[in-house]
Amino acid sequence: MSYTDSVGVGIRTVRSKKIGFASVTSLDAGELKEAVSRALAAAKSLPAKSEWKGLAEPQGRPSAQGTFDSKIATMTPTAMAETVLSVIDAVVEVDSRAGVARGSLSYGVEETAIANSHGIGGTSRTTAVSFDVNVSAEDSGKKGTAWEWDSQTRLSKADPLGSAKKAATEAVNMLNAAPPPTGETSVIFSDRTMAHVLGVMFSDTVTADSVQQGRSPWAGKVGTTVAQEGFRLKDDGRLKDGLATRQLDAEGVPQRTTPIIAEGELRGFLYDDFYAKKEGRSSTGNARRYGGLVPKPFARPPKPRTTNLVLEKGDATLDEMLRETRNGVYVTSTIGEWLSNPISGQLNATISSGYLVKNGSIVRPIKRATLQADFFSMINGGIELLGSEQRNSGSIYAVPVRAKGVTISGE
Amino acid sequence: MEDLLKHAMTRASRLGADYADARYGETSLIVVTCENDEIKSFEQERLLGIGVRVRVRGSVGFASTSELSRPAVAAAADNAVAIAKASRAKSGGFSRSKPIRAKAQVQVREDPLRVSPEDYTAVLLEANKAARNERVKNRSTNLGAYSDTRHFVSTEGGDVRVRRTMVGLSHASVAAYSGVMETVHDTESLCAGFEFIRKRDWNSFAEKVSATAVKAVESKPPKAGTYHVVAGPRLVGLFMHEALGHASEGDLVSSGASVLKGRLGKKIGSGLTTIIDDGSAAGGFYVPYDDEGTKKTPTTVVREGVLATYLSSRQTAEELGVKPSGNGRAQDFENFPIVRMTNIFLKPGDTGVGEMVKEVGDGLYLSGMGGGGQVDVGGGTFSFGVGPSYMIRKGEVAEMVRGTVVSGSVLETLGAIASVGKEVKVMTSVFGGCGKDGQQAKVGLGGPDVRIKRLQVGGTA
Repeated sequence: MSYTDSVGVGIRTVRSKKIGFASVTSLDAGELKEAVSRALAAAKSLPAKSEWKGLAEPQGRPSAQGTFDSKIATMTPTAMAETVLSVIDAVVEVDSRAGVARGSLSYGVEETAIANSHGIGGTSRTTAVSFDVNVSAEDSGKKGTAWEWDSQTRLSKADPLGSAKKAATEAVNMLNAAPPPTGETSVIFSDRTMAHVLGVMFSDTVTADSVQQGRSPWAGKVGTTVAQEGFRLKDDGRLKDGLATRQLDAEGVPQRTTPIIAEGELRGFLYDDFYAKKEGRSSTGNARRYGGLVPKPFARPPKPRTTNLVLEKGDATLDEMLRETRNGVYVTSTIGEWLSNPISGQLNATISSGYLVKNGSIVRPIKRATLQADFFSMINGGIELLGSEQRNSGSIYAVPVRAKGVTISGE
Repeated sequence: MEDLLKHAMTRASRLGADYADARYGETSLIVVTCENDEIKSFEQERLLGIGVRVRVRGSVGFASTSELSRPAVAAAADNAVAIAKASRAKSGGFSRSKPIRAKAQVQVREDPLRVSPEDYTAVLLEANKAARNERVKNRSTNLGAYSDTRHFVSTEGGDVRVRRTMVGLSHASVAAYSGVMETVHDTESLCAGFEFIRKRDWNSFAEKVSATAVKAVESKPPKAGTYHVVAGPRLVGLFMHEALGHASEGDLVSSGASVLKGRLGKKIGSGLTTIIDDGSAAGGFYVPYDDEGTKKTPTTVVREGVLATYLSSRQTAEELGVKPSGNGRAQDFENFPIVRMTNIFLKPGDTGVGEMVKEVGDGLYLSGMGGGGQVDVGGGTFSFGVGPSYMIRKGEVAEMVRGTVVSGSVLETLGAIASVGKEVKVMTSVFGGCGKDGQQAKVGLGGPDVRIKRLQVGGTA
């Protein structure tokens, strides 16, 4: 168990359109002054940014609010220890062949403040609870594993005990898992698996910097048909209790809701103030600071990034999807999906757990196969069923999706 | 600084800790980015603070602070002790280890933190320009410098100071052709000063990436299936790290999460595989001592196919009954040490690459640069990305194929290694690293080329 009191400041300086940046994990006046000097010194070596039109100005009224749950803020080490111990016990109670291999539980409070020389100013205080568990089951030399994980801004929305029990059941199911047959088939992506796929495919490609720099396959396609009607994707910076919901973005601009794909058409991209001004537009409130040696919300200058990426619900429950599948594979977890190529659209993942589905029922558990699909075709005619039950994986909110034309490489 | 560290330990002891250590960390990172002939940004980060780890009646607690003052480190010690008391963990003891007093550092001729920003931007602009190509729509080049100082002291009398410097460059080119786009990237880093940046030919480096991207965008992905392959050092290193390395980390073994649990002394791979974890491997990331003050000597994890030992920290060594291998590493002062690899690599054998390609006959030469990987240690499955590679037809290297993903079972693949090359290459990176349990660690990996009898390759149907 550990407790971290982490503090830091990221400083952006502008002089004659030369932009410098430095960050330091200290509120000490001396350290901050040195950081400012470092930022200014570095900026001297940079070319003036000819398109620079100034830092963001105070704009509009914020309509979002990040979530602060005092139950998270007042969590104690003793209560945490009790939760962890009850999770460990709960897993064994589900099935004595299962046990927690590893897991983690964390509670955090984040306080941020943003200010600039144009008078932008704002503070925020938000909470988050994160949980993950890896359950391992063993029986007569066979082994099955499963993970569950969850992140929420409110304690009441997280259910470590429930998640752990699900993982225990799945781990036991996976005892008899074997690779599926090879071939092209329909695949039901679970809500979380779909969330990861959306993250890989969209996070870095629908942002204005990628589009303007020639790193996006969506460039020049606004207003064209890129998806089938039911596939509706938006960036929602105001989502209630959303993990990335804040009043103001990382430059102090109010966050809002921006449609990305609606009615089959690509609607637009996500902007911060700089990239918006380059196109003569307004920021969509998507400036975020992330990354760094230790990913922190102050360690880098702002860049456009998704906030809460949301795939809107369809109308098929998971049960209905399974019952309506004659031949297919239901994927519950993958690894390596982040190795897909969002620019070429090639989706690649290794299935670490799932089920073979035949004539509406689950036939056997599967593991260890790769799946491959052309994502652009998949969302534009390849989706057969869209789920109605939404769940998040981090700040990506998705539903289960059944798609055809996916290549499975198993045995 | 020593004063603050001592103050933390004294405070912890007075509150009931039977062991305490305090770790000061000061890290700087500079990353300069250039895209399409324009310097985009020059970013500098500085992290500093103290982390305190304590043991109270067998329970371990940890707390840290970014404030370098006596009250702040005292508060960290208080928090660490309170946590240890609340956690009721059964962690038990730390394995015996002779407390070491030592100092070590990477030899540096030019401190990258003192090099003028203009020198950084000049190198970048030239390399980025050299990558220009009619079919390349986006050229991104980054230059990075990393400097990390750690000072560890413990109530057992340990006192270890380590200073590391690393520099490197990465480049990515996006090529477009006939409505199709493809990205290829490559990167090279070294634990050294800025002198490494000055003497390396980065223009040729970046030019080669563009040339590969242009060829790759016109190539097809390989057909999905199981192949007989020759894998280059980068892929072999990734495999050693993802497929074997993580599974051999003691904490994953003792919790039952690893597929290597209970296999000490058993044959887990082909007799040609001897796998080492070495904190001082040439070309790798420099870890002469871990963050528990333990000396990191080369650890033979696998000897001729037989699992010889696990990588461990003092706590896990005690649990597993092995010698502590000096692999207890923390991302920084804000994190407690967990078992991490240092530089993991396959020892060389005696087969030339040409010979291996002939042995394959028909298959794939996975030489691709870039990509990363992921492993499911419990299920024993790995998955990783390979950049553009080549088909092998009739014992000769043939046409290029686009980047793809390879995956499989850790143990089956280790067992399918049939030939091992002569020259080992170990690589590390100033950009990114390995993620585990929410902590990033800088690592190195590598090996010679190898021939693998069966490997599952993604691609197309």
